[in-house]
Amino acid sequence: MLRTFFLSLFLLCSLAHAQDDPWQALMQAYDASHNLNYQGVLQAQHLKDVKSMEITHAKYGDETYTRINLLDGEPSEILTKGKSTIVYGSTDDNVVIQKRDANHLFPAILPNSTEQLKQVYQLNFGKVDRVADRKAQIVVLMPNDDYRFFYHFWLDKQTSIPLKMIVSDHNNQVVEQTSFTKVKILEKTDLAWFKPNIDLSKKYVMKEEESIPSNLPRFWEIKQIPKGFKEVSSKVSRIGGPNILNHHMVFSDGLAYISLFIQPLTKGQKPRVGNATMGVTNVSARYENGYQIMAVGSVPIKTVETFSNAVNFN
Amino acid sequence: MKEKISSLFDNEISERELDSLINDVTKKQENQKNWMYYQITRDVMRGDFVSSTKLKDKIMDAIDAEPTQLGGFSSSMNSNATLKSQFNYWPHLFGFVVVLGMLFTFMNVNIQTETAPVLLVQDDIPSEILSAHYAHTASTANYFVQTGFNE
Repeated sequence: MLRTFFLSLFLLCSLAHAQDDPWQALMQAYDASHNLNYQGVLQAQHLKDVKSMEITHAKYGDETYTRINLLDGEPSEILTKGKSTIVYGSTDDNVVIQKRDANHLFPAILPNSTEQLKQVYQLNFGKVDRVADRKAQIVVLMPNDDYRFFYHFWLDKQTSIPLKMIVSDHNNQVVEQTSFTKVKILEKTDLAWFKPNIDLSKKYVMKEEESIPSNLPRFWEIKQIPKGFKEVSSKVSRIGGPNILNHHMVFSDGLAYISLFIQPLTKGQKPRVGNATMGVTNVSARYENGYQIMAVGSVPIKTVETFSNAVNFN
Repeated sequence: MKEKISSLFDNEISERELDSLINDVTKKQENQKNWMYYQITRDVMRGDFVSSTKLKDKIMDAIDAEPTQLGGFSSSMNSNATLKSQFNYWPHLFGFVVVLGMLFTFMNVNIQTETAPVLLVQDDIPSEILSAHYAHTASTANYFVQTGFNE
């Protein structure tokens, strides 16, 4: 009883402080999205494409558990335990099971520190709005430069869970939008729900990727990338022959993510050059020293172009 | 030996090979004929040949009958008929090449030794690249899941 009292007191004090400092509100939102128990239905929109999904999230012991079930299109789901993520994706005849690296899916999308964000974004409170029948405080991250988009978050007034996110460009056009249509906070939960919905009529196929050390010596340097972006992961995969390796690096400023690919061109393969836009994603391609360089991201075209030009071969 | 003499007149021979070539040419009668033939051919193509016009015509006809390097025979263009007008363009062509070279230098354009045809990425974005990107960076589950299975 005493423990619950002090926890409630701490939460109230934190929320009071967060009401003055938007960065503190953002940290509260990070904590709430990871450590509270909740269940709801989300709607994700990329341009004209809208998809619905059901999410259940719980903290059980020291570990966090999440299950996301896609409600539209082919049945697919994601089960996450801590940093381990398993994806079950349906094809016509099979269910393909795939292990993935740690994800950062909405609402648990915020970084665990605001220091990196403070370098490149200004954060301001907006008005109080209503999302999924709950009061929400809007906070807006405005970029200091034109290498990244605007991020708008609707944070639940009661719990700080992000209820809605809109990413917009410098012309105030919505790039992507994710929002709870309904959500409930779970007081207590067990893990009976943490299992995939098995379709017995289909064959289950494991899709495992070959493990190649990602700390292989690099024959290039990355120079002059936009401020605030840091390499957060790298992966090496084999394409074609034994010595043909695809290097995939991921850079982030805490919210925006950019993939940078460096791979040798195989015989007969035509190099790709120039810039392209596909939906909300921009691509910049370059060819040098027999290597195809591609930068991909939901960021302005200028940003992916800067990343593809940042590769300097030794 | 014919190839070596031809290379000499095309300025494609090294200095080291030059001495031994001259020795060989002066020794054999067959080589002396080839030497003269390539010298005349070069002079005709440059417009420097001052012998009879009949001989010049014969040489140009023979050049016309040779296959071009870019493919096939140049049936549509008679070198003899167009020789004079073509040569008038050479100073302009030379100027164009010099300007192009300067442009490449100033723009720091990397000229590939092998000319590889390129694709504009807007015409063909590799799906495996997009899938790999979304599988690591997507913020919403639909992109995170579905793109990973289009590979």
